[in-house]
Amino acid sequence: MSFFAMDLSKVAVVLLAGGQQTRFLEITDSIPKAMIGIGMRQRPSLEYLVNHLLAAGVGKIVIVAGFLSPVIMEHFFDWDRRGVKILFDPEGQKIDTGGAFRLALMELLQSGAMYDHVMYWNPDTLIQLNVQHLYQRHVLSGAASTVVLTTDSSAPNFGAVEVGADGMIISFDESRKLRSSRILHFDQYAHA
Amino acid sequence: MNFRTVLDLLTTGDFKIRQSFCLFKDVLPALVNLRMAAFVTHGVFLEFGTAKAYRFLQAHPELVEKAFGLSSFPRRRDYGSN
Repeated sequence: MSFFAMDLSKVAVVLLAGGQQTRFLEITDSIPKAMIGIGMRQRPSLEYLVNHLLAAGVGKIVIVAGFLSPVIMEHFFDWDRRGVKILFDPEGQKIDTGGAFRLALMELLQSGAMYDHVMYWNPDTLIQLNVQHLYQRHVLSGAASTVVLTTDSSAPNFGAVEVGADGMIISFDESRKLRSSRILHFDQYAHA
Repeated sequence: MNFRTVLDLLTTGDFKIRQSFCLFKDVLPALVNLRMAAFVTHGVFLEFGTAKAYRFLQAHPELVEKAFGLSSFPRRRDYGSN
């Protein structure tokens, strides 16, 4: 299967950066987890991810902020002209990932722009991922959704996925009881 | 995800009236039923949402550059993976 460049201008990306980071460092008392510096340049993971997605050509990025949202809003305050929208979760911590995701979808719908696909990516998951290639795979598969998987079984907090011969997901098992050559480990946060 | 498919899913039935639900525990089964494809990446894949994982990432900053250093075009031609 050869690769060809695809137009991602009708793809919107939802990044949920509103969670209260109870499992994290003391520093996150004042900085959202997605804004802590990482890598050689010590830039926020959210900034790395947004730039990566914009470079791939996605049409819109919606960041749902919640906990310490002013820090995120200030950092990206002039990024709207590049297609980045900051959405403040008015319910604070009262809604879970599903509610925040729905909030972002409603925002996209009400913006008047038409998007064919939506991608969800957790800002605190570092994935070496070619977004163009993922999108091509998703479109050509004819599936309603696509999930990104890793073969790295050493990764913590991951479940197992049973994949059929046609490349479609059969089941998820977070208890990791399933074992076979077709079992892949997955991160719960990357979708296309 | 196909925009309309997931929007319809989250704005009808049980999801419509619920304020709080988990995207993965609650929504994933419905998406699997609607056909969900797998996309495999063989590269960096690290969830650093814990202090321990973050410290590991700080000790290996090159992983960040590696993860985001990919060009917009694939280096491998195998279908369905990076």
